[in-house]
Amino acid sequence: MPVPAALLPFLVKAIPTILRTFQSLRARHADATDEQVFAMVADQIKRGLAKGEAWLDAHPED
Amino acid sequence: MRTLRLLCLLVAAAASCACASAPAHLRPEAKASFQMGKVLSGIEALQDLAIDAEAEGVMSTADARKVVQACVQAFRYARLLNAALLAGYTEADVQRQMLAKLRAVLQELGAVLSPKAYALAQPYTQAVLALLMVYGY
Repeated sequence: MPVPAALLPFLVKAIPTILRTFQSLRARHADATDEQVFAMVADQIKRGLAKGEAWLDAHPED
Repeated sequence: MRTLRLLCLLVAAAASCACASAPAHLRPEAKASFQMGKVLSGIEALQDLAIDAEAEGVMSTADARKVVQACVQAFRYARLLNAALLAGYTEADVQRQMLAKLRAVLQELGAVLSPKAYALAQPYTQAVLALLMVYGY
């Protein structure tokens, strides 16, 4: 999918914001308690499972 | 298109640098859970690849189903292991289980996928195996 050239400057300008967001996420990770880490991973598992199971339901074996 | 790819690469590199290692204050069990989260990111990427490749007609539905089934199985193992870690199982126990289950799931793909599908999936499976190695599994 081609990206309109007019959008490129906006994408480039967004990089510092994206980096700050990741720094903020990192800070949150750095402060995370044990329980928060377990909960984050449990959420990640739940999301991955939900997506995979939904796709398998939508594509049953012949 | 090339610029967009470069931007995506830069963002991905920034993300991986920003979230590089587990916080030092975590208990060993929580640290293992944190590392498992990173391994799961690789499994998520593999699952997304199969779903997108099937939608674009690059991978057959039968092959994509095998990949997604393997990823779902890996997520189920991970759910059990995360619960075990939360309950206080030792890190070494969990590491042994992670190694055996995840390696088996990923290696089995090489035997069941068509060569074309495996060529697509292999970089992702290798990335997950590399992460397991980095964490000493």
